[in-house]
Amino acid sequence: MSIGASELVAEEAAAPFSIELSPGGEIAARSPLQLFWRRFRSDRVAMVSLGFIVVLIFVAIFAPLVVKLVGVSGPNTQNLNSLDAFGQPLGPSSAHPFGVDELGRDILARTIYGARISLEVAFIATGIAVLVGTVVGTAAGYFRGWVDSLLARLMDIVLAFPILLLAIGLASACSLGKGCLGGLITPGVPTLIVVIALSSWPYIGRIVRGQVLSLREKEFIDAARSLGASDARIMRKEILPNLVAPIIVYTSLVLPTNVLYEAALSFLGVGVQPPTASWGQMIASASGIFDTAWWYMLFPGLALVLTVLAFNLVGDGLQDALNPKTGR
Amino acid sequence: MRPFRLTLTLVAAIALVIAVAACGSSGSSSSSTAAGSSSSGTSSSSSGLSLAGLADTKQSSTQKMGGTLHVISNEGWEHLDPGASYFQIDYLVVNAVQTPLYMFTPQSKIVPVLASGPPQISSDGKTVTIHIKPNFKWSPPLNRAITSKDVAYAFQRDFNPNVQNGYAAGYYPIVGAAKAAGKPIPGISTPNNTTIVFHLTQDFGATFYQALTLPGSAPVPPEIATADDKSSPSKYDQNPTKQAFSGPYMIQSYSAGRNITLVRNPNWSHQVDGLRPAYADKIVWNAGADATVAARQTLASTDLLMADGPPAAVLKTAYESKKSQLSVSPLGTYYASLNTSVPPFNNINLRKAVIAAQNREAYLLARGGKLVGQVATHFIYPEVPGYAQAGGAAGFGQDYVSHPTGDMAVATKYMKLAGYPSGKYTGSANVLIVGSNSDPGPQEMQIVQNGLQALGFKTTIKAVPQQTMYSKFCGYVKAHINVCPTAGWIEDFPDPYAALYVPFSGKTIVPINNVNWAVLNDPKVNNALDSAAAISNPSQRLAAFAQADKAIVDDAPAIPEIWSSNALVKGTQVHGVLDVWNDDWDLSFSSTS
Amino acid sequence: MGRYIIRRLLWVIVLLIVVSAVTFLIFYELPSADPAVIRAGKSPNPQLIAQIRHTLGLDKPVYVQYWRYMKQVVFHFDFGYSYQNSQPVRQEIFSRLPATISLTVGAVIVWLAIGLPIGIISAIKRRSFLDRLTMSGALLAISAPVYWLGLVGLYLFANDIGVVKVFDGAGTYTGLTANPSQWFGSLLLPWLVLAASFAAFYARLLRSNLIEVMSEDYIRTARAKGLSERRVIGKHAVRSAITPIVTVLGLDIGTLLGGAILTETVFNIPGIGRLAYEGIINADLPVIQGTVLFGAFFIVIANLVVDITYAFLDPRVRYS
Repeated sequence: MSIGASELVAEEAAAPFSIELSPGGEIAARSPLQLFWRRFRSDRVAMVSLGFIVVLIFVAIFAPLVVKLVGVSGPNTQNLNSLDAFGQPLGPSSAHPFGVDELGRDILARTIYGARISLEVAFIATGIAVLVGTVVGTAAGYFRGWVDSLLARLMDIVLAFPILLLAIGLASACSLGKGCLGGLITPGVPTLIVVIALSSWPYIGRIVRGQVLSLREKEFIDAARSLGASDARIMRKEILPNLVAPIIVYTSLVLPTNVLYEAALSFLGVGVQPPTASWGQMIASASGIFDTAWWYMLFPGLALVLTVLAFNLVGDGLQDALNPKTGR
Repeated sequence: MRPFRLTLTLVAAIALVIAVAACGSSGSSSSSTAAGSSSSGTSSSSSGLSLAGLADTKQSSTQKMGGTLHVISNEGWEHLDPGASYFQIDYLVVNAVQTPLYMFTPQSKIVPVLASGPPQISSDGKTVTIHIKPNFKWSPPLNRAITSKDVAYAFQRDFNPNVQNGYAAGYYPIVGAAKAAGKPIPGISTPNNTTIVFHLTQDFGATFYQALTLPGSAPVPPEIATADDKSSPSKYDQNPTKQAFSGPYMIQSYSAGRNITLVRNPNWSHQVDGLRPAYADKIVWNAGADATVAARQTLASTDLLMADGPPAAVLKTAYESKKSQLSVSPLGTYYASLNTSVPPFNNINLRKAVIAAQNREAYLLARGGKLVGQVATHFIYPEVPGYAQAGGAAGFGQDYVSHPTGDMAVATKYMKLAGYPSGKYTGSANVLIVGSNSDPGPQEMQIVQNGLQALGFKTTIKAVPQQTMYSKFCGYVKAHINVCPTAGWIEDFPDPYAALYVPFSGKTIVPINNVNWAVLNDPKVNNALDSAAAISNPSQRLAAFAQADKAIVDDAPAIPEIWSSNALVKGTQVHGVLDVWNDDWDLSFSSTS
Repeated sequence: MGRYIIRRLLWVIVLLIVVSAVTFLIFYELPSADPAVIRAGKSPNPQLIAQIRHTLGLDKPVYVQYWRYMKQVVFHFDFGYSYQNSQPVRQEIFSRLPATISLTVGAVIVWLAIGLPIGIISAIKRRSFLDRLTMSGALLAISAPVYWLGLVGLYLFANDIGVVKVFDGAGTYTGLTANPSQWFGSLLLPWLVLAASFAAFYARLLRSNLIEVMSEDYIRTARAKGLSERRVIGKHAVRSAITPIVTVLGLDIGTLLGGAILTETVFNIPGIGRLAYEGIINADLPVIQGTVLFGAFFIVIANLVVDITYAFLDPRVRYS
């Protein structure tokens, strides 16, 4: 089956995946990473976005400290006096600059803590997906024949699932009791990570496979082979270095999708368990009262959009750096 | 009897109207048939929200015949098969299209409808004979007279697992019924077409009589249903338009979860029925609407009735500017059960400390504030007779329930008694909290968690679908769930037996589908409930149940969260009549103007 | 060609079997409401429950249950009955299909009508202000989750609660045959919201494809022959740049027909996605099963159609 582009994150959250990437072989032949980084550095928008992400990572890591510095109540402190007689949350005030939620908890604090879940899940899940995708893709592309058929079919099967639905089911199955696979996947963050990794690795796998298929026809591979290098050595020493740049680019494209993915699962109620704050879950809770409590929907949503946007801008920057032809 | 299914939209109890305002004024009479005084003119002293000026929701002589009644709701229907129906909004339809032996008037008076008079109960209480009216007829195309054999078949169905009845086993202790499994029940005989005799396994007199108001007693014609009942689940439920109807209306069209249309049943007459006026010619109901949208639409309309409660935000608007379109009536109790059978809450002092530390006002706010209830202090709630005897809003005055916003000093006292001198729990138990994942379930779990954490408990929250919560966690005794904060209980009868017995008697504990979520098995409570149930004199009975209620609160098996109310909205012109016992509109009594 | 199609069809069947088996296993593990317990009623005795389990075949090993389920699906097209309201799942799915189709088709039209022209113009006027503006907007649209965009859209523009009352609000969906004008009005905002990220994605995709194509030799040749720029772009460049978009479009349509859970949830549109979501909320196993299988069916069929179309366009594919 052909490469689907926006099918990642099965439906609405269209992935910024594309066939924009031309085979990176020629460029990669010359000290690829250096060139790559130099081009990327000259992209100001991408650099600013990268800066934003770095700051966000620090905010997430030091969330308790940041919340204390800002001077708002903790993410799980229920301030009942911030609710009106109908139990409705009150809006932004000096004590709660972003307002409070339906339990009187500070939204600024919860938005800050929400970054933790978002980044943790997205980074780890993407990491796993890239690892699995690279191994499978390399094996399929290099060995061809029945290995390739088998692995390609496997990827087809994963991609044939209505991913969001399956993820919800898997996540809710694993969120009950002791988790699933005999307790291997415990409820909460691990479940989210597994579900997201499981459905995003085939995208990396297909890209890598395509790259390897074209790489293995190159002269320098033939040269290595004629010198008697083993398959493992060729893959490790000759092919893998040439895959680094495209993998980085695709990783940067999968990351924002996975941020959205985590948020979508949380929005549908299968993410982390309360009271842990996550952006998607906050937007879901807000959706019942968004017409009166606009702040509840607005701030976590903005945090989410800005984060995804920053990742996408960095991804674009990396892509341009890899393949200046399509540049902006 | 049944647990709450979802937030506020549940089957409710048969009840006498007690003004919501019972809160604060503990002397408020709870056992008068308060026709005419329903939720008007009284105010709550503690809330600061006045309930004066709310919609008038009783019958009136100015109501007119004819026209189309428009109903809207967020929830869809579950089962419109009279044998399976056990859900508040399903009752709205079933009570308009079917005719049980007895029914409650909107003001909760029990009257014979299909039956021609009250049941004749033998001296040992074990034989109940009922005569039915000879001139009730089935709707077209069946058109024949309804006989006692149709009623007998209805009971046979109630015990057929394919029909999925939720209460027959608890309320109809008929000889041989439990093992009938869809076959004729040995304990039911029909000497002639207008007589049905029930042989019971125990003296269950008054309770059995009242249970005959449930839709499971409405006749079902065997010639139509027998074939359907052979498949699992019964096909009689799947296409309700194919049913035979005994009520004032027939189901003309039905789309599950979306819409239903009721038209007049030409074979029904008010003279024969004697109860339901059936004003409207046609009833059109659209379900599955967004709750907020539906509530706003209803408030802006002239002719809509909304069958489930509006979200708190809209409630606020309605209260502030459209009070005459808003009505509020009591519903049931929400409480957080504390599992008394496993550590740490097998320690009674720990349970008392937990209750004392809870800010129970928070539960009220989570459900929409003062308009949707009041903080509970015991388990016989405002619409149940016996509420006044049980101390009304103040309850019995135990120190751990008398501080609605929580009192850490009292909590510390009980922590010390429990063996934790620092006032903080230092044991190893991790408290497992399981509740519904639909709003406000998660909030309630977090409120419980907040209180527990203040006492030093380690906690884990598990939010699951409501059904799963009952079937795999809270209702599954072996799961040993410590706290179930989103459970609720409403009774089917205006009798404290129905409010207290199943959730708190140790004799009701069953391995699955258990409703005694606290797994409370205290001989003192069991005896108090049993002896109260045996009393027939009304005032002595209520006093005895009040004592049983006290014994329960003394055991601290649950955090009494709130006595909940159901708030409903309607259009400006439509005359909505409220069934107090179902806490929802009665379609056979409401009219377009 | 015939052999190719048969091979693809066989693979589709294998795919559906695997998807259904995996789904069955996953949701079998899900602690859902136990149908035997539901049917046994309150305070049931264990014998009755055991008996019901036996009648329903719940005491059989999972593969037997799966076999029975698939037998019903394949031979009787019967997906079982909802635990929640006893309705046949097949009927539930079919009654939800029109809403999902309406949402999908409308959104597709909107995103193509917006995305393609923007992609072409941006590619032609590369590096212009317009290009930068639209591409920034596109990136923003891609970054915003549809459910949040939906809420913001409703907050700003819904005619019941919005700041500026423009569109019909959530939950106003009516069938096309029941009331065409309300059908259109109620879907307008959902179409726009759902189409936003797709339009952005297609615009970006088309733009970059076009830029690449326009540097190809044959375009240069066409230019050199003196063809007008309009003809070069319209006739040659766009035609070849748009081919990969057709692929993506097929797959996107397939996915959306399986249910746009998020959009349907936010706008309360009674489609298949919403049905699936409700099934999961209520732990209604037969509904979940049915909707997942249905969703997979659409995805697989879309893949098949795309592949066969390709095979017609490019004979080399058939023999690969």
